[in-house]
Amino acid sequence: MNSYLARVTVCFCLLLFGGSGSTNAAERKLVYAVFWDGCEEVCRGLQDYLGNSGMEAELVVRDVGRDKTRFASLVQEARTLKADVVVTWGTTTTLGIIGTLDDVRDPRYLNDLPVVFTMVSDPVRSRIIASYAKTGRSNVTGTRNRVPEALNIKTMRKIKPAFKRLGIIYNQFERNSVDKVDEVRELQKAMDFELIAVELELDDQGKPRADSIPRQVRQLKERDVDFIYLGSSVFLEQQMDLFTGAAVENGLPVLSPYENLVRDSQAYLSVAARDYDVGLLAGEQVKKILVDGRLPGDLSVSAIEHYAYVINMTTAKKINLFPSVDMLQMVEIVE
Amino acid sequence: MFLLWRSWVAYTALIATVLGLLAGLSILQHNAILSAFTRQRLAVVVESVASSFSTVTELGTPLSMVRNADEVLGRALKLDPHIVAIQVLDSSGSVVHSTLKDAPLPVQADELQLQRLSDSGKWSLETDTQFRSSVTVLDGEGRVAGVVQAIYPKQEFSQAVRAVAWRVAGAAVALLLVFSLLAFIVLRVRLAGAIAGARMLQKWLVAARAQQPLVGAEGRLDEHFVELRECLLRADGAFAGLKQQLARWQGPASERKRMQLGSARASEVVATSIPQTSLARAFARDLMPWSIGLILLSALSLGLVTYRSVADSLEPELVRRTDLIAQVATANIQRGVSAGIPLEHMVGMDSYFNELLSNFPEITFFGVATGRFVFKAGQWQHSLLVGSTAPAELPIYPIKNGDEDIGYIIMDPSLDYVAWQFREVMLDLGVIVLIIMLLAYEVMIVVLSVSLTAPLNRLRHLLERQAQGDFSSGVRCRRGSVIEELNGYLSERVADLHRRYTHALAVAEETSNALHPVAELKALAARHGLSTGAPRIVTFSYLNDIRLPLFVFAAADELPLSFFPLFTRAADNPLTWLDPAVVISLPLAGYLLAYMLCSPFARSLSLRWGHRALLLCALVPVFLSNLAMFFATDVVEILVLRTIAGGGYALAVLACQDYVIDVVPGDQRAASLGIFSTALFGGIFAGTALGGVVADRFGTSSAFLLSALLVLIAGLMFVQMIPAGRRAAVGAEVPLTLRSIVEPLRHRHLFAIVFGLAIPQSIMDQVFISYLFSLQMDALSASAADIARMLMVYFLMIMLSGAMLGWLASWRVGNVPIVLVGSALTGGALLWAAWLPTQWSMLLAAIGTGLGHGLLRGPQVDLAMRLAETDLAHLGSSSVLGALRLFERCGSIVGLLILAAITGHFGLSVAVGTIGAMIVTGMLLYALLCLSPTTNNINTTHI
Repeated sequence: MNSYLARVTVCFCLLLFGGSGSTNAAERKLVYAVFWDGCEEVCRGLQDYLGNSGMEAELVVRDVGRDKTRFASLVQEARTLKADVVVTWGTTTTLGIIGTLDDVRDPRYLNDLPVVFTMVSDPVRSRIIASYAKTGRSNVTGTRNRVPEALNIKTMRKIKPAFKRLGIIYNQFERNSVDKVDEVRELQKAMDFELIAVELELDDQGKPRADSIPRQVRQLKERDVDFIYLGSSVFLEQQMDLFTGAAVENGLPVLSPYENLVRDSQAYLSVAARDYDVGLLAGEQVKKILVDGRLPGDLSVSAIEHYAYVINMTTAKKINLFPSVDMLQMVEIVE
Repeated sequence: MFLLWRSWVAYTALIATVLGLLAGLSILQHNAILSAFTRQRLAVVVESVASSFSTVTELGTPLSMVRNADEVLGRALKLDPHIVAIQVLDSSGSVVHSTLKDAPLPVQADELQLQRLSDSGKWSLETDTQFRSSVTVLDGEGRVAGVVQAIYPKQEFSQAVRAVAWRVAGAAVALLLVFSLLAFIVLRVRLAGAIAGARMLQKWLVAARAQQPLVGAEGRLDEHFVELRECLLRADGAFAGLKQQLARWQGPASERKRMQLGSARASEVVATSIPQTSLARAFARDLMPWSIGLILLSALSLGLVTYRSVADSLEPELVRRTDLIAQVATANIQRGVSAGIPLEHMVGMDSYFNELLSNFPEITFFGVATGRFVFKAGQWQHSLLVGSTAPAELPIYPIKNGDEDIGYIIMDPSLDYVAWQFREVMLDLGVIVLIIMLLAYEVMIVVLSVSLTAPLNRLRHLLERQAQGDFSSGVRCRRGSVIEELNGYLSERVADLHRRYTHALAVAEETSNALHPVAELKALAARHGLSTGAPRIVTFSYLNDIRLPLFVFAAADELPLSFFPLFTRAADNPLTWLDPAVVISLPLAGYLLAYMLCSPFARSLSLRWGHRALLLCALVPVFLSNLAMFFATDVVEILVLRTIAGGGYALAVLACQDYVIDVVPGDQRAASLGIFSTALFGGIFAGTALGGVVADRFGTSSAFLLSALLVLIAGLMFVQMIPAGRRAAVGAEVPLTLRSIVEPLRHRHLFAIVFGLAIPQSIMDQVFISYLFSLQMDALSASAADIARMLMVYFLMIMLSGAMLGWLASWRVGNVPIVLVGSALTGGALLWAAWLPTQWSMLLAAIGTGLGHGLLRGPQVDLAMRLAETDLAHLGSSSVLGALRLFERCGSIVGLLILAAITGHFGLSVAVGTIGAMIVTGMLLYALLCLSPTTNNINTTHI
């Protein structure tokens, strides 16, 4: 797990229209995918799309293992393998592989290979791209899978009409996490609520401490928040059971932008796309580049088409917070 | 017996027409209501789905992005397995979710148009095979996020329609048989005198043709026939005597001389109507109540059967809708319970059920119970909850947890709503019965007139003249009854005398015999009205000639009235620089303008061309305009066509009014103008009510085709019934000029009629009825159906008061008191409605203005005509009537603009009050000028 390039890898070829079984190496494309923490749902969606789309493509999956120091070697490997497209997962990984708009001439970043980013919470605010319609980088396009933050606030108010205070725990070492706090803070006045943002405590090595999460949730409870919003943090997502369990203990609902926190853990509600669908969408972008011959910079960032409101009814019962009759008609309910 | 059989066939045909039309229209009405009810039921499902989707669109989620949309649609589809599809459309009209995954049904162009025109965000459509019901889904900002629509097949509807059609048609046939038999019995009894009289006339005719004396007893004859027989014998004697005298000049005459003398062709002259003879009056008076009674009874009987059939057909539909609403509510609560939410902890039931109650007025109460009520919304109408009535009678819908019932949804259907729905159905059918009765009445008048009273009048007229030795003219007669045969025989006898005279004159002039001088022969001819050549043929004109065609024509013109604004709004609008509200009013403005511009010329044209020619010329543009309207697609086309129709309508209606003025004796003019108004407004009433049904079932374009067809039928009837010849007494008219139109206003009395009576009344009709009434009623929360019915009350009152003028004439009530009472009624009703604006005071206003307007219309024209015949004779009737008609219309247009400004600044009630004040002021002005000594000759005139 810890060795560089230790984890490989899925490699597969697919033949179009029932070919003879021999593959034509000259036509086979290489898709190089970099994930922050292993091959999860997005990865599986991408695999399935490439497998079912009829493209002759080989997918090489690389796991960063949450180690930012590995980005330089991954960039180098992609160049060495002459990857036809590079897919990145998450804000941190994407920044590590392609940098920001200011780094387009920096050879440390991939500015010479087509890149499709996924799961970046706010690529514009992070300065990865100029806009969703026009990325401003000839080799970069991506996918968009987050609903506007205003929608999340309205949803919380729909569940709790008296909603006034929102709590967020964030990781100051994740750019996306900090950006998300800033984005939500800007909505306070217009949407009439107060944001209470709490930083994750750090250990001696400057890394966030998981054991501080219950204390910080309790702190939010003491400050009388109505909802906790996960915002954007891979760390909290990884610590989902600890995080959502602490919230339930304190009788607080968690709204997560990641559906798996509701389905697999104890988050109360998510307004999100399925990660698997994000993988499929990334596959579509890859196909446009490899098969249709489109220049990534000419492709707008592709938005996910379907979102769902998912409520964990076990959590709802535990914290005694039920959705209204009309809301019940549209939400997906999980136990 | 020929008279009996002929009358019976005519009555049977009339009853068949009444029952056939009633059955047809009732079935159409049933279809319209059932279609509306089915679409309303479908709307329950659609609204339920739309309500679910709006939960997330209000939060900001686009409809296309709702991942579990298919699951929501699938749940809704289970509510009614007959539904073909439920679809969600985005704001651009593209189908983004559908229960037909592989082949979603395309959106029809009509639906997009309906969506554009819908103010409520709900609309429905009926196609040949489907019902489609749609509801708009809004986002959090109130913008359209998309549409939910459900599509339903029509098989079930078609079966119900067929069942009702068979039932109503069967009842109509049975009733036709019964009432035909009743008609035979009634006619046999009521026409006994006429049958004996006709038998006598038949015998006389046979004897006369055989040149034998009339022998044998005729049995007991009605006194009127005894009188007729005496007249016949006197005429017979006069004829025989004259023939004998002409025989003195017998002898040979050269063919050349006879040809020279007899070359004059028969002239045809249209005579003003002759007063009805006592014989015709007696039969008309005797038969009319029975005829009305029979037709009314047959129509009401079918109406009752139809109502029962329609109610039986609609009742299950209402029950199904109510049941569906409860099922939706139960399913939605069940979803929460199935997810593990205890009923006691269900959140948002208050707003959920209150929204249901507000969307579906047929439910007054929803309760959620688990042995005790955990939630209640609305008003429970029954005492069942507190009493011991069997719970089985309550509409209860169980909520389950697994297999166990853990609670119930209880609802209370609104008895008032069901009663209201059936009252609406009854009123709709009532309106149809009324339309049919109005038509039947007009047809009956024509049948009586053509088959009985007019031939009797002509016979009596001829006989009286011949009894007095006047053989100057014959009459134009038709084939058919013995009376017409007799008229033909008497006319032929006149022609024979004229031939004999021509021959005798040829003999006298050629022989120059002193014993038989020419001068003596000519003196004899002068005494008896004989001339060389053919005798004059007289054609009689009657008020009844134009009643039925006018009724049909008015109905044709008003057929599109109920849907015209919607029709215009739906058309393509190239006038984008104009406010849409203004664009919609343009065709009406064009129509009124054309009416105003054409109205001054109607009188002079009818005098110059004759009524029939003018009518036919006027009908052509109306016919073509309606025909072209079928193809019209944009507002400019509609504007042009409606303007053309307005001009044609003005000339046609005013030509009919002039016909009444010209053919009716002066002392019957006001009453006859009242009857004219009754026929005109009867047609307007029938057309307006009929147009809605026709447009609903066959589409607006088809209604225009029907309108064109009715104009054509009216034209054919005008041709058939109005005499072609020129009037017997047409004086030289002063040519119509602008000056000649303005000049009559210098006369104080005409000024008072125009400005005191006509203009305020026209403003009332054009502004209050056509514009303010609907707005005020809408402001008073009246439904569209109630507004339409109240307007119908107005038209009915005009018809009633128009007919009342005849009774007032028999009481010798003068024109002046009538117009003063009419103005007082109109003005008083409006002031009352302005002072206390309620739905009831508006109903009173409709009654008061209708009665007042009906009382005023005829007499004000009669007053003007009397001035045209006396003080203003030098200006001629064209100028006087032209002035009245032009300024009446100008006044109403100016009034409309002023009152629109008043409405904008001070509100509807002030505008209504202003019209009332104008009418009262006008009445005072008129009264003041009438009491002036210089014009008191008009005051003493009686109608």
